[in-house]
Amino acid sequence: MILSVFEISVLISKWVIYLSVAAVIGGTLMQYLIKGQPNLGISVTKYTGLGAVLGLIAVSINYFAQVGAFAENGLMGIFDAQMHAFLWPTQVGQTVLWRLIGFGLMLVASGLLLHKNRYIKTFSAVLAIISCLLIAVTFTFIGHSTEVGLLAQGLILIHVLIIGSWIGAFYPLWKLCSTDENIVIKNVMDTFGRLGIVIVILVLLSGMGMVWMLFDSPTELFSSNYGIAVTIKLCLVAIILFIAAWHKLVLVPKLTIENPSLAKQKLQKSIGLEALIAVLILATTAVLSSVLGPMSLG
Amino acid sequence: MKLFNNVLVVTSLFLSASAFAHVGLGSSMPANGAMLSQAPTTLELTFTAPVRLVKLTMQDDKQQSVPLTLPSSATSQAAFSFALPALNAANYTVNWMIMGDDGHKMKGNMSFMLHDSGMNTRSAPPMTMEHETSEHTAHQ
Ligand SMILES: [Cu+2]
Repeated sequence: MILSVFEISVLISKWVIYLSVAAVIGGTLMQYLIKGQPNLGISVTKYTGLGAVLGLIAVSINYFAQVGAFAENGLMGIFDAQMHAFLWPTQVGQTVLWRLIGFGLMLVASGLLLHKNRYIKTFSAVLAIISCLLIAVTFTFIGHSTEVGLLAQGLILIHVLIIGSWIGAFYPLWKLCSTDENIVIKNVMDTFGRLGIVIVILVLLSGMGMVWMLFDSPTELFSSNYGIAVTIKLCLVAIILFIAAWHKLVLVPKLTIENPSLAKQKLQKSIGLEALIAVLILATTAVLSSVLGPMSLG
Repeated sequence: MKLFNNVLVVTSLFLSASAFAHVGLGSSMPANGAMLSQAPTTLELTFTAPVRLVKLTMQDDKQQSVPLTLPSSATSQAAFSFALPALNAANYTVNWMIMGDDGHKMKGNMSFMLHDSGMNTRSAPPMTMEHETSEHTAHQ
């Protein structure tokens, strides 16, 4: 399997899109969990703003790379007017349009969030939620779930919103660990941990449901390239779940008992590791949703 | 020789399927690898799911193109039919590029042979020439 420049660009930009989506959704959720922590609020706002900017860039690059891949006419193919005219009215163009609107709204929301006025603050919070929903909905326009049916599209919507809230929360949580008040860290981590149970259940149910629908038989998980990619993803998810349980059951309770600063350091390191695995999970997802296809559709 | 051929066909099918299995050409008229003694008047392509046809070319072995009119790509469909002009005896290859409903690009080809009707009266057993390749690369 040899990938062209376009295919590699599509892959990498897609991965950045995933990271941006996570930053935008997870950052919006964390904005609520850390209320009353103004300093942290500023860095989370910067984080969602950066996510929005990266998202806008990656969505654009992704679109031009796709046009180039379809045009098969060298690098200038990205400007192929005929291919633009073909792709823009399709679900590919629609996805690009709504993602640009979504990330654009998030950029505006991040800008307004630091405003002193209470009404503008509320307005920007509403804008942020609308932006998250818009971006998540675009995942039902394209991808393998669209080939399987409405139920699969519903599952992907839940999956994106939930996984985004989870993965995107790692940076704010990591940042939180540098604050001095251990009791605040513990409270936020406890809330996040309680939410985590719901998150984990929904992620697993929606993920399993999609695997069930995309695979004809369990042997495909080991026999096809697509299946192997899914298996790698599942293994990474298992590791991340293990780390999450370790936080909830061991590290967070230690925050207020023995040697809190050491526990805090350990927690921060561990969240960093969690984030690293999350980045790998998104990379695997980008590969299996762009260069590989499920057997069931063949 | 026949066994060798079959093994080759099966492994190539398996390899291509395991690597890029996705929406592809389900069946066609004339069938891939068909040996015809009568010129077909239509070319029919049926894909395994609704797709938008992006590119379609048909050439004989002298790289002479057969003109085909592509339908509008406003909606996706699984079956396509094209009227063919009068064909001469030759080896024809059809190259297709599609976009599935998932937005992914897939391409492949199939070929058939048209015999000189006067020269070939004895019907040769249909031999499968596995020309079909499909790729599921560049698919986003
Ligand atoms: Cu696909």
